[in-house]
Parts: sequence; structure tokens; C-alpha cells
Amino acid sequence: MEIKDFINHFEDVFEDTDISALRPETNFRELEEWSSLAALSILAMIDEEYDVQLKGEEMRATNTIQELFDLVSSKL
Amino acid sequence: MLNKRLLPEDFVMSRYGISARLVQVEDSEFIVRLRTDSSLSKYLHATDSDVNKQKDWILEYKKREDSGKDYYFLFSCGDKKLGVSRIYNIDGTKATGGSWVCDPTNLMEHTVATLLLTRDIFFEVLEFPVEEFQVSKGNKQVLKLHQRMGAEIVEEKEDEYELKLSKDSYLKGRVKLTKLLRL
Repeated sequence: MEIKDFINHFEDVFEDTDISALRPETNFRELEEWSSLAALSILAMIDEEYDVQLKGEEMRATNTIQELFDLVSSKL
Repeated sequence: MLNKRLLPEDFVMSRYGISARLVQVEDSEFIVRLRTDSSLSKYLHATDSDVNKQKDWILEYKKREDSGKDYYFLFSCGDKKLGVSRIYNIDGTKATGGSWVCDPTNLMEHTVATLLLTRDIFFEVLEFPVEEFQVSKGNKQVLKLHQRMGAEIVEEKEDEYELKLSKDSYLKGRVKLTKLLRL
């Protein structure tokens, strides 16, 4: 699992956000497009692309793309 | 055909950890706050920020509630108000869902639950067979959620999509979403 691919999947959710703004250190909750429904899309993406089922509270404990990536990786 | 109430005045339904009840005049301030929130109002019809006008609107709405034409729901989790939605333009077996707006500070589970509960009322309590509704084209995340629930785009207009959601498609979509969110 590569973070580059993870960020590409992130970009699919944040369609109106410039890819340059999506870096491992990006705090995704501070993105303009962030919302509870964007959170759902990320949760669904992780399930569909990585077959990992995160709980909402697990995702809420992360802030950066790197942290979320590490969480998903730990469950593979 | 005589118009009559389809839901009692004290209607309450609880599911997914939240509750729905019919909107009351005292919800006016909450509704105005939601509908004039700059992060939410982009895809809503313009709402006057005057709370007294909202109260008047609700009093007028109550007549449509009495005649079975329009039902406006307030969702909450404990003491926290989560959002609102409507089932309106009720005419025989036809109805439209809309006016769905939630507090942007909600947990994602609660926001999604408000739409699931609206549709449970629509299909299971009111027993309508199909929901027809519109979504603004720019409202991408909302469109995705409706599609996750099984809705299909049936027409594309300049600024919006027309969608349809059948009960069968909704029930399949509900299984996937409730599993994903552990509702």
C-alpha cells in the first residue's frame, strides 16, 4: 500500500481541491471541501479500495492524511 | 378525496440513535440558523434571517401538515438538534423529499442517519413507492450520498439533476450504509 495511491483516492473524493494541497501532512479536516459527507466518502473509499472497515471514531482520531494512511495500513 | 393527516401531531420515530419529530414553531431559530449558515446555504432556496418570518412560515406549514400535504421533521440526538428535512407535495401515492439540511458540526453518522430516517418514514410509515427529488449539480457529496442510497439520475437540467429512488433500491442501499457506519 503506497501513500501516493492513497492520496490519489483522496483526490477522487475532494474533486474541487487542487492535488497539490493533498500531501501526507495535510490536515484533511481543514480542507475547504471537508464535511461530514466527505468523511463518509473517505470511509467508503477505504472500504472499497482497501477492504478495511474503519469505525467512525477511529477515523475521528486521525487528522492528517499520513495518520489515516497509517491507520488503514495497520489493519491490512 | 378528503385531505387528512397522515401522521399524528405527536409523531415521533427513533432509529439509528436519533429521533425524528414534527417541526414546531419553537424550532424557528434553529432552522433559520441552519438555512442561513454560509457553508450550507449555497444549495438551498434563500431563507429570510428573520426568525419571526420563519415562525409565520411554520404556522402556515401546520395547515398543510393537518391536510396531509407536507411533513417537516426535526431530528435530534438527546438534547442536540441535528437537522431537518421535509416530505412534501404529497398527492395520493406521490411525494417529494427535500429541505434536508444538517448542522455542519454533526458526526457523519448522525447526518446520514437523518436522511435514512426520513426515507424510512417515506417508504415504511407513509408507504410511498417512489421518491422524486432534485439535487443541485454543484452539491456533489449530497448527490453521492443519494446514489449510495440507491437513487438514480433520471434527468439532467441546467443547474440540477432530477432523481428517483424506489423502495427496493433504498432498502438495498440502506443495508450497505448502515453496515458501513455501524448504525
